[in-house]
Amino acid sequence: MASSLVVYIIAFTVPLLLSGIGFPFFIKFMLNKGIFGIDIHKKEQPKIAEMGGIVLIISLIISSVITILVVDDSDVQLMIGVFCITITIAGIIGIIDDFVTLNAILKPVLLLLASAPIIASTWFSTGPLYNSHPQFPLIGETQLTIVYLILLPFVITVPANAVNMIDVFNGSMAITTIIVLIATFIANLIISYTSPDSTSNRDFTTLDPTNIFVLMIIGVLIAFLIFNRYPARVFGGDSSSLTIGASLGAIAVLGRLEIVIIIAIIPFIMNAFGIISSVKGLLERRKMARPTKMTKDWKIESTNDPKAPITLVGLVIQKGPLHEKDIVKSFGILTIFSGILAIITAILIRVVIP
Amino acid sequence: MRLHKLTPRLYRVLGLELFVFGTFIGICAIIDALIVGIPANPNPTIDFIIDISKVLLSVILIAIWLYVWYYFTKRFMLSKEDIQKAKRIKREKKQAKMLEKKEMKNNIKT
Repeated sequence: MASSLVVYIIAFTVPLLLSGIGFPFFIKFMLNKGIFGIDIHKKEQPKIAEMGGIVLIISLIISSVITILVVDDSDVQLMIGVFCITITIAGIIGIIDDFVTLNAILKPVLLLLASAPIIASTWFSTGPLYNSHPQFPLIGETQLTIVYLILLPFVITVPANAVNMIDVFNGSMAITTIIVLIATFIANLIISYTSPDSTSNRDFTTLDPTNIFVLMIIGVLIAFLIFNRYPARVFGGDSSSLTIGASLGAIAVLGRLEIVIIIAIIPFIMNAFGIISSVKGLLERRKMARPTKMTKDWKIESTNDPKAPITLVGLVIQKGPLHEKDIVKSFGILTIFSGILAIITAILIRVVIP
Repeated sequence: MRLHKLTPRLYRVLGLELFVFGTFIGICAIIDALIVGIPANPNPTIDFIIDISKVLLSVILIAIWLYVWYYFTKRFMLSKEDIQKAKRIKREKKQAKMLEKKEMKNNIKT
């Protein structure tokens, strides 16, 4: 069977290639079928193929199956399977939402179901795949047991919705999530592979499922970014943002990186907090007043509508209108900063765990 | 726009991110110093209650952190004009209530 390095290469390249090859065909197909959206942030108002998340989900399912076939460790195989089912459930909810527009409360409630495979995995393995002792900076391992089990569904649904709320501009979701995943990858290396006591160091030849998940999602997102970056040729839709968001939650639970990921997605959560606080609860995006409008030179400025939700975009354009590309760059800067904080968190966790 | 021109626009948000991170680490330090350090009791019943109390106290602290995060995000996302407007509306509501109360008192007297 393949060495861990080969598995990592497969986990990264297969979804990258599958999505990279799949998107041009998908875009053509969707435009021919008349399934498109209008990019309202462009002067030309182009027609853009929608529901790109379908390609992401199919690529991730095929990649997971291939990775399971090349791995010879049954525990890792089970983890990849559970990860795949979890994000597929979130993706299916996203596809349904793309077609029929789910109620703003029903959507997060349905997303709670995505955590079911992780909880149910207890019956298929020698022990639960999640660890109810999350690691906190300066404190180390905690014993949450039942409390953890109660919170587990929210660890999937919160990032899924937070990522969904940030997916408003060309490339914004892909760029920010790739940064979060790179920070998560580094944090995982710090926590799992370094130790002051050299005898307990994990060997680099040991296969770490967390690295597989992170590389898989980065691979698929790079391919998506090629087609979704400014000017976008495909929109991901809720199917892509919910899949990627749920994958962040699943990585947090399966990789024991809950706190690291919470810190890494601070800008996402801030955006969600802003929206929820201003519209006083959960409300479907299409039912909210628009927080932004276009200027004559096609920059984005605030509508100053008191009924519009307060978003991260609103904060970025408070000092004047900005081009769409610059807003996405700003999101990138904010996520790089939170990524650095997540790496510091990993170091603070590492210093206290044996 | 170049990154060095964009970054000054983001100082407030970056500051908020740092604040959220700092308060979280502060709470972890408090939990570590005050709650984790509570010694175990030889009596299993009391020990169980102590363990539950430790978890509860930690959860309350984390909940406070989340609320503070939520509150400051809400405040930071409002512009100065929005804050003044909100204050004005609050003041007007208060005055209206006071007037209503005065009228009620006057009505009772008459």
